[in-house]
Amino acid sequence: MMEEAGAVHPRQRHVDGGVEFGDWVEVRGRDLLRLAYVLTGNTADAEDVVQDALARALPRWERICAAEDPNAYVRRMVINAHTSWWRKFRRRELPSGDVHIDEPVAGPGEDPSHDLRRRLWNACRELPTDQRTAVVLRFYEQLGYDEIAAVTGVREGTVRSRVSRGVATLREQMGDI
Amino acid sequence: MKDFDKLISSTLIEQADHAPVAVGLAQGARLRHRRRRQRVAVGVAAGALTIAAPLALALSDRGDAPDDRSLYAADPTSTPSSATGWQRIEENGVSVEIPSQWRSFECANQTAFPSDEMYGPNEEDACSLTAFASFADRDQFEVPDGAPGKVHRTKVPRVVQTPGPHDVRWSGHLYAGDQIFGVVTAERSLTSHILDSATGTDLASQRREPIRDAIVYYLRDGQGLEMEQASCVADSLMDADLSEKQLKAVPDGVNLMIPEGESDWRFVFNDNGDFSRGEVIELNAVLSAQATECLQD
Repeated sequence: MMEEAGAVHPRQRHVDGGVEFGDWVEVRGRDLLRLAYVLTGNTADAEDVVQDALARALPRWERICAAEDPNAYVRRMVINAHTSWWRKFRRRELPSGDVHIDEPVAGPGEDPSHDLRRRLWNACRELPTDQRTAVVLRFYEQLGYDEIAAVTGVREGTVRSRVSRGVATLREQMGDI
Repeated sequence: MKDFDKLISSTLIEQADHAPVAVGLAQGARLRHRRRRQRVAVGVAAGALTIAAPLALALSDRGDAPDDRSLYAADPTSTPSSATGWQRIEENGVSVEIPSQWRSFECANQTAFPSDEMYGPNEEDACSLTAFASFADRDQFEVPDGAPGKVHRTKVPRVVQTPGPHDVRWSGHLYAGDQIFGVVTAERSLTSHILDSATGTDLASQRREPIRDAIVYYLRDGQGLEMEQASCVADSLMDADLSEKQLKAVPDGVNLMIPEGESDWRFVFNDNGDFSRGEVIELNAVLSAQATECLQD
């Protein structure tokens, strides 16, 4: 989970009232990658999305620090990069009926609940981008529907619908658990 | 929180531990930023220097108009009314003409089009992607919607927080080596002019490519509403003055809905029965038949 916005790491030093970019990335980079990873579902896209957001934040870093909380700002950039208008339909979003999930196979001595979560993760990765984003922001970032609506630029009702559809699909894919 | 919700939450938190290690992020960002900065805006093309009517004003006038269809049905080959002169911007040997009034902006809070330098009539339009032209790294995109070099009708992008009901825009893109050039304007003829002005890229071969595809998928509403939706992204439909073609393409029992903030046409099915994959394909076939350039992969 993300640390509380605004928390100051001891190693952070302030430049012109803000936090130096490199120091901030060192402290917050891991959280950004974690968020990007659960959003995108894979390492390559997670790294790309975070790098893209950081490269864009860099030239205007002082302005970002002066204007608002850089944590929230860059997290929003990461989310926007993931759901961007230009990328949206470039991913082929398959109907939920096309989701394929491997049968659970617990390894020797493996906790059955771990296998359950692995199946759920696979199902989550197969959700359409909009639904997966809403589910991640709701259940990973623990954001309210209104906050998700603000971040993603859609109406709250749309967010509720996306979360609901996403959870319904996940339930369907998991069957009796 | 329900048990299943808790399971989703704990699963995502657990999986986040598999995220890549944050090594060299700041350095990587600096490298990527430097690479993007290697572009130059050059030259001022011939054309009247007198600014008869600021483009920004023209755009805002259009945004308040009652009927977008009547506004944007202009002949795509006509001279853009809002541009009184041209300047040429260039990157890696590829250049395009944009209105001389347009300026360069750095947009802090937009990542939808991954470029540090956005040209537009004003900062708001350039940074909200409602009117802009810019180059970006091609490797940051999967295959874009629609064919390169063509003008596509689209709604304003989702990054705009409060889209108005008539925010229709005309967009297009071109490939140029490892770059992609993107443009969005409020005027079809302006977008067309900008795309047609491009030099230094093999536009002819790009334009010979067939219209890419029609993408159809459907969603099941989880609220028990049983609303089925199918969306088709079809270049010819997006490019056309939509009314006639779309109405012909919609089968009986299907209502057409154009959602705000979306670039696709959505069809809402009234029937409560099962909606099989076969029916989706059948719908796609109907669309393809009506829109001659709408092909399925």
